[in-house]
Amino acid sequence: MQPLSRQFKKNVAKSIADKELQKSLLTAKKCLVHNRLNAIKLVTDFELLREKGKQIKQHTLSHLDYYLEEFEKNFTAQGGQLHWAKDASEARKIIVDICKHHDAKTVVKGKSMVGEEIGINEALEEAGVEPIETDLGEYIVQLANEAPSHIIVPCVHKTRQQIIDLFSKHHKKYGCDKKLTEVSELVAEARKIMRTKFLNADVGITGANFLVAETGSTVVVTNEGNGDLCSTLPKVHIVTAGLEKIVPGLDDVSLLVRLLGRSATGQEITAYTSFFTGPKRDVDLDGPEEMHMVLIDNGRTDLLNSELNEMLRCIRCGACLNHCPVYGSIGGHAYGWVYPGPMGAVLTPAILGLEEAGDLPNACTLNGRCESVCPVKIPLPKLLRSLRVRQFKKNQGSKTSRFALKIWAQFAKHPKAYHWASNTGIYLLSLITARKGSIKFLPLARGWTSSRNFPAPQGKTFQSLWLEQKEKKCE
Amino acid sequence: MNNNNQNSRDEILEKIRCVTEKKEISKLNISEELNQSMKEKAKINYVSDLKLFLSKLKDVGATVSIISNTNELVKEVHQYVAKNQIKTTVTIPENSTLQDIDWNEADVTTQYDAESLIVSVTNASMGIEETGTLVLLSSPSSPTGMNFLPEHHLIVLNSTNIVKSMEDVWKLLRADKRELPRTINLITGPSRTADIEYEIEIGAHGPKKLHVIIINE
Ligand code: SF4
Repeated sequence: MQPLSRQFKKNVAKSIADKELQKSLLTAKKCLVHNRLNAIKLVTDFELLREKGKQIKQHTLSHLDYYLEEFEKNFTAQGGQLHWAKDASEARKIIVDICKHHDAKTVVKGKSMVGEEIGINEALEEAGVEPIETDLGEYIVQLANEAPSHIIVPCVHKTRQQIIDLFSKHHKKYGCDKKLTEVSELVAEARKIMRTKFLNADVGITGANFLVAETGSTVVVTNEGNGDLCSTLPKVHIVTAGLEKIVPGLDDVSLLVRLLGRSATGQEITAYTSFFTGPKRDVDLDGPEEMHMVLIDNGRTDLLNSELNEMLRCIRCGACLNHCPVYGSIGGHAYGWVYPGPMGAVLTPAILGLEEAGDLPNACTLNGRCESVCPVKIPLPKLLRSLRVRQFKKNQGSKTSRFALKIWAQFAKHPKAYHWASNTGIYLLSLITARKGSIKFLPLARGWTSSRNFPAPQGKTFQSLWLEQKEKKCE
Repeated sequence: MNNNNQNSRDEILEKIRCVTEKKEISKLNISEELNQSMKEKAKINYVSDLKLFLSKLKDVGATVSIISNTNELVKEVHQYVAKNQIKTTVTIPENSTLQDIDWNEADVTTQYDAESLIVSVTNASMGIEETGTLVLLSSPSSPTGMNFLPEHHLIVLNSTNIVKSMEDVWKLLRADKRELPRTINLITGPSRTADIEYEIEIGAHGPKKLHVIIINE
């Protein structure tokens, strides 16, 4: 997918003006936040679980080479074929080559964020192979020719009516022309159409939630069961996975699954948690004859080597998106690439570079909710701050904000001047303060006052009050 | 096609080692740490009281019936088929213990056909109390497709095979010393989606109904 993060401000304006989107975002936020809360109430010590989850992932990252080799050994011993890909283009080539080798016409795909990241669909299409998204949400955004706007609920930005229209436009060719209204009818129609595709596909591609070093297994977590059909029916199963997906053993998967389901959808466990270990055994009645794994770096080793390395603990649960006030008002597309919300604001500049995604680390109020819900305790605000520092050091960012920061720095270094300036500021603001202590219009901050009032300063500065108190005490 | 990108492999591992080697951790230590958890000898926690397991199954939208021996299975499947007004053949896996049952006149086949599968009856190896989960291991007598293709999936589980948590399943598999199967399915309720306006809709691509038959002798 062509990144559009550079035009972040333009994207934001568009999203905020989109009434349908705003409606969808509101329901989404309510449901997801509520579901998670209910699910974690059932655990005696969710905080302990988070701490353990963090430790497992951090331990694995600090011995990543060891666990990757361990995985390689066990995966290949089970007959799997492992491919290492340095970057997106290498990964695409490996996958396209496998498909061509098998003369594939169609590929059924399970939901995979890393698949989006490397842009596999475009590459397959170019090679004359039809990629079919089978997760209902992914299928809907594929029909709409859009990108997913949430890492767990890809079509969270679409209303039912929009989906009804999409289906009636695209499903005519399958002889479906009944007018649909209910969600159940939509799901049933998609199931029927997709079933034929599953049965006829030459290759199945899935992502992976975890890779298990101990056994060489791939773990895929879904609710619809599409991932299992993708990995069972076609002759060839290809797994795409970022190399941070590795965990030491099966017990670690158990613990992380407890965190993942609760944080993502508020479920104790999703309907299907499946472990795939190598291709079908000779005696099995079904399953793929070949199993391939494309292990993707694409900037992850650089990330590991940087102050942002904690980001590699991410298990892609989406909780930080659901709890982010910025994501909640602009939705996923505004972020301009594959990963939205707080995790995306770190990952996008880390993978694509700050030049490409410079505005994203600034799209954050540093309120800290994301960090407090993250199941593997990633300090997202801290990471965003260090990206801002990087940006400042690199002389990037808008001229006005750099200028403002420099002025501020001058004042901050001289307490007397700072004191004088804030007092003057308060005085000036009091001149334009309307009744009820709020300001309706503020020069230089029209972006703020056009949609809400600016709170007027209440009395004196802390410093002045402190001095007064001190003087009183001395008297 | 193996190893045709040896260079990328070496380059990636090289870059990782720049970071990990600094911490001077010998390989031996880590593998010992890993083996420790693998060999963990703690006993397997079986569950004797079905209450929690049953309530978890209900929570995730599965239906349950309890029978006291295998002979009652035929009647149970019959009843399910009649109640749900199913008119097609019921498929059971070849080579499985289910095949040894005398199905009398029942409309049952062992011919697994992916395109026409509507109802399947399969065996679960284990149940997990914590989440109301069923564990199905792929084998010649348990093809994975039979767990996902049908609209109605009936799973037979022996009550002596219910364990407390997922970790107990791993302990059992390790104790077994056999190779892992191609697929381990942990199944918790029927298939579902909430992709359209957060309305939970049961029956996405997998089974619309999950019926668990527990044999409690
Ligand atoms: S950063 Fe944390 S909360 Fe956000 S998706 Fe990743 S694991 Fe989930």
